[in-house]
Amino acid sequence: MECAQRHDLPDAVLALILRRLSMFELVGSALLVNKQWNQVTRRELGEVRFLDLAAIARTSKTFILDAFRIVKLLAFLPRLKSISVHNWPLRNVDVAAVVLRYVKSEHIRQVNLSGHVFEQEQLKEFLLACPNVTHLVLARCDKVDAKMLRQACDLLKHSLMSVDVSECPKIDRDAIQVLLAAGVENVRAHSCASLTGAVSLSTVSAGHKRASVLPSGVNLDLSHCKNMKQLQILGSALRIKTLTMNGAISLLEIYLVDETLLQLESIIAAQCGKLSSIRIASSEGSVNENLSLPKLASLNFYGARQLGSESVGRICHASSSSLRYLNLNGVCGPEFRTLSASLPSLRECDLRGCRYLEAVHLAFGPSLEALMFSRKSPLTDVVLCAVPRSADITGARPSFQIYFL
Amino acid sequence: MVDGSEQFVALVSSDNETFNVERGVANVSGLVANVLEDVSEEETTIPIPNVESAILAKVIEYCRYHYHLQSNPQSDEDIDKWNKEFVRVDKPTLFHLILAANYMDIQSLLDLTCKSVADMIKGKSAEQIRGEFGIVNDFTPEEEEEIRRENAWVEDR
Repeated sequence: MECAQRHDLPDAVLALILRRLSMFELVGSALLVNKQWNQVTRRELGEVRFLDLAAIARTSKTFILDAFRIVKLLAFLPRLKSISVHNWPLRNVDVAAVVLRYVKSEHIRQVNLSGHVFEQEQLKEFLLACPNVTHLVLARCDKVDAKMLRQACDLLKHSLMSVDVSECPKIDRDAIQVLLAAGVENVRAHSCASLTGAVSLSTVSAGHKRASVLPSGVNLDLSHCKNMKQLQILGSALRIKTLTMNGAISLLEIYLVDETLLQLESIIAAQCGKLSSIRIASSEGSVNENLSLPKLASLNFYGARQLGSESVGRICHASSSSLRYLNLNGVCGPEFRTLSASLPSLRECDLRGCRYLEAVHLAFGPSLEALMFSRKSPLTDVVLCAVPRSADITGARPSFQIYFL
Repeated sequence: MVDGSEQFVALVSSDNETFNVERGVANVSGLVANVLEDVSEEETTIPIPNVESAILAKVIEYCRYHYHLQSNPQSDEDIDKWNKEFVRVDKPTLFHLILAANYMDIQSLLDLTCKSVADMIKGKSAEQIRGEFGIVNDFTPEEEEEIRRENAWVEDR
């Protein structure tokens, strides 16, 4: 080790100090101090994996982080894995254009271009230069559409795992279909106003290119897509793991083909005030009375006011062995009067706000921790079996028949 | 916990001064804790050959304060104030504390002292950093000129 300063510090300790400086302090000052500082600083910069350009731009007091400086800075960071320009503060600097043109590295795994406008050709140039991207965040990118996503999926067919296209105005059913057909595991499409009417997703009709590498389960988040009225998930090649549709205020029906549900772990459809039906059928349209959802652990229909007993009962029955969390708080359609199921794995069950619920016949197991009833529900016929004594039951009445474990 | 029956260990500095310290206080140091695990109960003298007495005394002061926080909790604000006062020392002492914290494996002291030095560096040019810490510039004029030219982009344009 070569130490020239009067108070010698080992490289490892000097690195601890330098890690507390900004990148521009490292490049602008630390590199120039002496040979040891120069070497340690270069090594530290080489270890940088995550770059949030917007954060640097916001905290730079002495200079403007313009295109020239960004390009120069990137040259010091050869092993970046993640780059973000989300919340970029400088209107006169087109940071997305700089990143898309000058970032060229097979180490890049994640890129966040949220809120920026760019052309298909620009994204293509970037993805050709960064062929191992796994996570693309394109939220609020006005020009992102099905065509651009198809190209991205083609270019990243061996790596792309996660795409966020939330609040993109051109994201429609075709765009989501492209992502699912390409085998993207995590699809987040919050607040996409162009997902309108009946949204039918399938991998059969699209002729997916990655049949051999389709993920074992897809996490699909279509929350707050306020114009979506029906969601259909068809196609035997597609396996849904989590389905999230919080705040889809126009959603009337979810239609699922049972072959797609073998990996299903959760359905979260809170605040879907018009949701009245969850239909599960085979690809031929027939209802399978012996439907089994062996991995379904979480159901949240909080505030789905119109949901009826048939939909809830059927899905609870199909997931009876695996269900751990059941939230039906606020399910208060006049048809939701009875709930009957055996749920031996259940931990929490929220039945508050079920205004018309009259009959509840539930059997639990040792996992039950909390069970909540509303004092306003009519609840004239309640039989609770195999309830652990430690379970916290709120809203119980003397008329409830409770059989403890 | 701190009580009257606490055992003591002797820490011996590089200049052979012995400090009798409660075992709990000494255990704040990862190095000492490891040694105490490995030696017999009777063996209570631990040499700290890389740390001289003046610095070891400061380190023990730090360990004692932070150890006693377990039985005598203080507000984050008070701890912060104490820490700031603790590192208000001359630069040679601060550098020796960093080295001692590193050697004795006291992560929180290492973080505290490194942060203190980093705060001194922030906003300073290379020349100012050299002056602040007495660092000798061992670049040749040509090397320095080349690095300056490479990094001119950081300065105001």
